[in-house]
Amino acid sequence: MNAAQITIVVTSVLALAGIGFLAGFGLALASHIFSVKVDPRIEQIAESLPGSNCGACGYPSCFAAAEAIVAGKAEPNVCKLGGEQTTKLVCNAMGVKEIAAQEKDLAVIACGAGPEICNKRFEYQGEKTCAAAELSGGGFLECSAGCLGYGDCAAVCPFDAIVYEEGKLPKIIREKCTACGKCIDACPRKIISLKPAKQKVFVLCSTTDKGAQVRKYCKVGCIGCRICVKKCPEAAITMEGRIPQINPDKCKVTEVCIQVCPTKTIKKL
Amino acid sequence: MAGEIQTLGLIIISSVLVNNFILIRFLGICPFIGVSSQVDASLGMGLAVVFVMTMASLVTWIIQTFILTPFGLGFLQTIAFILIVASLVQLTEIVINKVSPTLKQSLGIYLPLITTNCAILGVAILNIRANYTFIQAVVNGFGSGIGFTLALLLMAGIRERLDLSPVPKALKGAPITFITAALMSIAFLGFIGLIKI
Repeated sequence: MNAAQITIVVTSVLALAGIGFLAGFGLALASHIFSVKVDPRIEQIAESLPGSNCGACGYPSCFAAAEAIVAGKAEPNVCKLGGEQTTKLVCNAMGVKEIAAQEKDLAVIACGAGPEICNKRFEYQGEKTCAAAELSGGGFLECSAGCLGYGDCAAVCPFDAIVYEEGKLPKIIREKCTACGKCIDACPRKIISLKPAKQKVFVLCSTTDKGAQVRKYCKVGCIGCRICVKKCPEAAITMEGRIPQINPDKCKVTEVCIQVCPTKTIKKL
Repeated sequence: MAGEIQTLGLIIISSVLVNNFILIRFLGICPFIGVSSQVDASLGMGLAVVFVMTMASLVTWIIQTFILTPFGLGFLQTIAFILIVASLVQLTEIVINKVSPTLKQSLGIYLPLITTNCAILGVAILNIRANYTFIQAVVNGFGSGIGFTLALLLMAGIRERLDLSPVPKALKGAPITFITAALMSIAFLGFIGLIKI
């Protein structure tokens, strides 16, 4: 290499390094002048939250929930999705005594039939969404609380936790469900609800019709015979209105109700 | 003096309308599609780009004239300019974070992405190629930013209305946006021949 080449190399290195140094110095100065004081706990808590921004806690994002926790507007166990581990981490970050995590919920579709099994009042040929089907004469099923099977719930689920094939009853994958509640709002028949995650046995029917009527249009609908209430060894089942309710605190999953139910409405999920 | 001011006026009209960065030069398309779904966010993005473009024109002109050209380091132009642009974007981010955290959230990832927006590097390099004076370069940078904002705002306005229009299913989302952008570009072609510098 001759002297001229060396000069070019040296000047270019010096020039770039100089520009870089000036820019870096300027940025350091700017970040000092425009520094925003952020509570370090917000970042720490935001990291321990699941980060799926599901909105089940009522805040638009996990970061917003973290801000609310630090500001004292929300309890450290506000995140249902995170469960015990997240609550523990958040309590540690906040420096408060550990509190019990909120009970986790999961969404359940309280219908065991869907359009495959339920008798139809008429042939529906409109827009293929549950909302539109419900608007057309109150739904094409004889049952007023039967799943219409167009998967509005699956379409809104942000976690792909609802498997759906057209014309069939959608299935909620319990491992993926975060209880964000979007499907509950989307269902025009209001047959999806949140149940405690520890509950394993469900009465899959939401009808308000009388038993004799239900028998005519649905093979798996609850006819209100009360056998499950009588036979449950834990006395965990009570009648509330037309449908038996299972108390998850008492249920020991003996599966007696599943065996005695004449219409096989009660199922373990 | 009057001639100088007239030239500056022509540069502004040229950079805003005739040589609009997005619709005529096709630079900086990414934020044009990415941030143009709401008028508020696109206005914020546009103003951030105006700031970065003006500052980049100013600083890169100084660097080119006083460092690169005298020392014969023209080959370092790209890397030196990228360095400047990246630092300026970082600066903008710091300032926006202080002034309006809400704006920062609505801009999201597109704010740091101004760094890789070729429109900024484009305006810096075009300033040098056109042999602009210092003032002309800064005015051109400012005008280009305004042109960028104008295109972004027009697009956002159209897209807000498109959301409520019955668009065929196959064209929903990105396809109809691209078609709209193409039609806007054709419309802006009408400005060619408006002025000659």
